[in-house]
This record gives sequence, structure tokens and C-alpha cells, in this order.
Amino acid sequence: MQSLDLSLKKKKKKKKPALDLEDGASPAVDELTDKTEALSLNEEAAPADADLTGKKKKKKSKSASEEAPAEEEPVAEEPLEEIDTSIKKKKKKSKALDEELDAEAAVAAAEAAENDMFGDDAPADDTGDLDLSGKKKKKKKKAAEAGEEEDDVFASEEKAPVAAGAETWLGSDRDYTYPELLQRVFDIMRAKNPTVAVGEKRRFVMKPPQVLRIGAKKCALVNFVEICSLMRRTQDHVLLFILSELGTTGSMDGNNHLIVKGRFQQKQMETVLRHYIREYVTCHTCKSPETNLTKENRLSFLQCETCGSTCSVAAIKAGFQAITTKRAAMRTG
Amino acid sequence: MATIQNFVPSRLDPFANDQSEDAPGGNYIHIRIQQRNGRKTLTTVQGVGEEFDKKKLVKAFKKEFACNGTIVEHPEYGEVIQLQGDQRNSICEFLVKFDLAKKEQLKVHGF
Repeated sequence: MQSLDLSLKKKKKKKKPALDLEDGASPAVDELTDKTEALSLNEEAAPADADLTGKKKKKKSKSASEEAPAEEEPVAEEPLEEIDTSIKKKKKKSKALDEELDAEAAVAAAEAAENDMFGDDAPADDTGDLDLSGKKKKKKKKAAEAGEEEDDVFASEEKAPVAAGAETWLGSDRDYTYPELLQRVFDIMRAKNPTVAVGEKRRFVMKPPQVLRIGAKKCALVNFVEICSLMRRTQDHVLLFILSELGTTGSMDGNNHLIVKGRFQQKQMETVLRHYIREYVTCHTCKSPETNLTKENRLSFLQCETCGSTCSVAAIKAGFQAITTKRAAMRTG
Repeated sequence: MATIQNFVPSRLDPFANDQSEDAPGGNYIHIRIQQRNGRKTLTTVQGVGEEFDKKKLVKAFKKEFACNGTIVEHPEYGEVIQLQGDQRNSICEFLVKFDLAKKEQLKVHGF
């Protein structure tokens, strides 16, 4: 029953744009139709694709390139596909068969679509699956790339690429690469003056935050004061950051614990603290944690004690807070 | 008077803000998460550019992430998109994929 419902709904939605676009077919649409004809051999699949492109163009206020809809399509249908393939296929096919089905009553149409689906149109289905898989691969790869890049961005302590070994180019004909030379320079510097740690990455060691649950809705950060002193930041500043980042309220209690409203795990607190350290503790130039946070006429500056650089850091701002409590309760309270 | 050597006056103002970078300081897109009751969460997207139609964006989000969503008008922050559930990563991917924002522009908050 559910699948039936879905197909009906889809048809209602899809029909309009398809009709709109049939007159003025853009070149992108033409190409798409060519492709689909070549793939699936039934012409009625073409308008379905065309209407997708049209919708995308309307949705984004940017000129939809030819690949944009192609990417979009599998994304929209991917989650469905794994769970129940029948619904997905029918969605496609019922679009394709729209014109034939127009004459018939809605329920009968859906049934007919179903029958066609499972009976006659087996080859067409196959082609549909084929091209979907091709597109999906593309998308997966992209997602993977995006993930990797994101990891790079969010890695708080990234390491410089280390060359395989010193002077590996000696044995071969090839030219030395820049990282190798850089490594060589640092090696020499370290060898010549062992007292000065040049470019040595000292890991900033942080105590893990101890989070205790207080009741059902609150959490306590037990070693909050300790963490603040380790980072050499005022408690107020850290408190403000944590609260604005988590989007909750909280305060210090008598035993110097930080009480935060909401359930948080230690891991989650760690990520928040890591954000704080990256933003307000480590020097943005040399990544050294020995820094001071000073305030000069309403602007915060981060001054590094190792390299002496100063850079301004953004003030902590809570940003938009959605209303999560009952509105009626707010009105009375 | 010593003259400054090698000083070539150019149209480039050396003290001007760096315009070449594509991440202008002002228009970050903040993606936040808020806890609701129980395991439920809420994702808010603040600072999507004026040139994009939020209504259509929400529609796309809702369809893509299979969640509900709405637009909240805020006097200071403009139109803010609210989505049900933790959609932070998927929003980031979506915005980057369709060139609505650069990766450097996105700021993900919360745990």
C-alpha cells in the first residue's frame, strides 16, 4: 500500500514540470534525451529526465550544468534503493509512462504501472539500473574525496609530509624534490645545534575532560579548572566558548565543576575543547601552544611566545539559537 | 635623506586586506547543532548568501536528507535554516557539491 501511495504522489509532483518543459527544450535537455534514448530505447524516459533538469534549474538559482542533475539524481534515490528497489524503479517508470496513463483513472494507472514494471519492461529496468550504478560510482568517489579534504581541514595537528629518507636522490638520476630538501635542511639544523628544537613538533598534551552525568539532563565537567589552567585561559573565556559552541546554558557550581545543560559524552567535550585549542590556544603561525590571549579595545589578540607573532582572533559569539523548548511554556514562564 | 630602494609604487595597497583569498572573513556559514529532548537534535544553518533562495534550498535539503526543515527569520542573523536531526556533515557536503559555498566558508559548531 505504501508503495502505491508513493507512486501516486510522485506522479502528481512530477507531471507539472514535465508538461511545462516539453515546449522549450534546452540544449542540455536535448543531450540528456539523446543519452537516455541510447541507453534505454524507450522515448518516454526522456521527458522524465528533462523535467528533472528543469526542476534543478529552478531550485538552484545558478545555471545548472549538465552534470549537476546527473549527480543529483542518484543522491536522491540512493537511500531508497537499498531498502526497497521496487519503489525506486516504479518511481522512474511511472514517470516514464505518464502519458499513457493519463487517460486512465489514478488508481488503475498505478496498478498498470506496477504490472508493466514487473512484467514487460524488464530490459528497460536493466538499463535504468545500469546507468544509475555508473552515476553512483562517480558520486561515491567525489564523496570520498570530499571526506579526505575535510579530514585535512579539521585535523588539528597536521604533520608535515616527511620525506622517505635523507638524500634518497643520491643513488638515482632523478632531481630532488622540495620536501626532501626541506627535510635535509631541518636535519642539518637539528644536527648542528641540538639545543634548539627547530621545527620540532611538540605535541600539546591536554588532560581529557572528565564528564559526569548529573541526573538526566545535565552534565558536569569535573576538571574544568584544571583544563583552563593547562591552556592558560581564563575560565570565563572557556566557559563562554563551550556554552556558545554547544548551544546550551550552564554555570560553575560550588566545587568548581562546570555544569552544562544537555547530555554530552566525553568524546563530544573533547571535540569542543579541540576546537577551542585550535582557535584560541595554538598560534596560528607556528602552532605552538605557548600563547597569550590579550584584549585591546574590544579585540582579542593571540600573541605567541615562541615565534612572537600576533594575530587577532574572533570574539566568541553565540550565533543563532533555535527555540527548543515549548513555545507555550515560554509564553507563560 | 635616505631613499627607499627598490620601492616600486604600484596600485596594490600592501596594507589592504587580502582580497585574493576566497574566504572573506564576514560571510561564514555557521552550521550548528542543538540538543533537544532525548536523542533528538536540531541543525541550524546561518549565513547562507542573499543570492540563494532559502525556501528552495530548504526544499532541496528536506528532500535530500529526508528530514523536515524550516526557515526562521531572525532580526540579526537574517534567514536561518533549521533542520531536524544532525545534518551537519550532509549540509557541508551538499553546499560544497553545488558550489553554494566554499569549504573554507563553512564553520561547523558543536560537538
